[in-house]
Amino acid sequence: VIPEPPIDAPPAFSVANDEYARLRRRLIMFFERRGCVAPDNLADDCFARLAASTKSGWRPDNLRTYLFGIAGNVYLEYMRSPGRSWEELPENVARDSDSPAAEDSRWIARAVIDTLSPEERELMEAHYLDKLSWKKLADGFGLTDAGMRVKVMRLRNRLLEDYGDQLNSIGLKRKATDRSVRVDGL
Amino acid sequence: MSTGRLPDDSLLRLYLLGKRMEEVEQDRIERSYFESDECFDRLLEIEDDLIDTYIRGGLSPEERVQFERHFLAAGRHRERYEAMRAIAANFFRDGPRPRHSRLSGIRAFLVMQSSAARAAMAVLGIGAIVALGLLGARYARLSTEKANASALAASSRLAPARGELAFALAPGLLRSNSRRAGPRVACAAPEDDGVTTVSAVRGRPEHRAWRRGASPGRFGAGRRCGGSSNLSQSSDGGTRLRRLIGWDGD
Repeated sequence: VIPEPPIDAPPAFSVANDEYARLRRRLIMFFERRGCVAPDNLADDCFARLAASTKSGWRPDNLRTYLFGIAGNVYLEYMRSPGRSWEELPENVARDSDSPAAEDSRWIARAVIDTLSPEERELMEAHYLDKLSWKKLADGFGLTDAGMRVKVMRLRNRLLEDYGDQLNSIGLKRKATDRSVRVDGL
Repeated sequence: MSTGRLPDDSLLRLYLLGKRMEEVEQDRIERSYFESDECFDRLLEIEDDLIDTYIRGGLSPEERVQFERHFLAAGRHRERYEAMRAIAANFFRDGPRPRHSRLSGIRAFLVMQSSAARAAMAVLGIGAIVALGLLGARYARLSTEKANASALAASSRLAPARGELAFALAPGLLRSNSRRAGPRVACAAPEDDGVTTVSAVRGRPEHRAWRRGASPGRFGAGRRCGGSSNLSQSSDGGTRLRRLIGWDGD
């Protein structure tokens, strides 16, 4: 299997991968807030301009502030461009889907939930099912409100991470299966 | 950027929900999260909090509309939302809830209460247990007394013993003259308490005063032997007295 290159490779200037990812996310957030159609593309556009301006060896004093300025310019140009409009939302975006992919994701989520300890499960049930306030939840577990928020957030992020990993692995498997089907069909 | 200048959470929340705000305000928020890692991390947390609150149905109607129209318009937000919803759904919809024993349910309920509420509940619980104990003891005592009284009453309601007279009335010595001027009813069957008192008062000084309590077991249930009677000397007094108490012995 030949590994595919990542879709969003960092530009060819010296920014650490982690910092690049966070800067990109900031830019995406910036364009999302303004209702831009393709915030990812606009973020990449910002990096392309940054790369162009630093090609000569010049470096901005503050990369983030500089990038923020670039984002503002990119947005102004975007506003002048044709076809800028809100992205068409799929119907009932907040509703459940019955597609096979949605069924897969539910199955994966269930598998991820099964890895919780009884105490963790109890906590998440109290949070989602019983809809207890942060204060009640914190009192029940002998923590402060902030401590409880952090605990739930970490637990949720762990679940989301596992969920994402498993979803990716299934996606890769599915992609491999599709390829083999195509090869077989040749 | 110093922490003191960071926009507060409510402002960041409005920003994420796409609420209209002054250009200057929006610029300040954006500059903050571009320059400050702390502000950016906080914004990411609020993003997740918003999704989480939406899933739990905790957003106001206005916020919900903003969330669905603006926040979910971003593909990245939609992906995050779908992942979080898939996970959250397992806690309240799809997966069967694990069976909890009643005890664990009580424990869970107690665990969810504040420490003050738990202390109050503990005091109330102890009070209730003590009160129940006292009531139970009282009830047991009353039951015992009632049972004893019933047993006593039952034992007193024996069939009248026939031909058993605990006292001796010598024929010719005593006589009842209940009808008229003579002695009134001198004796009758015992009452429920089972005690029959047969009294004889001397009609004349030379007559012997006679009084006796009869055992309930021997007389059985019936009417009380009435008060005192003037008994006079008669040749068949004993026989008549026996008739009055229903004694049909020999």
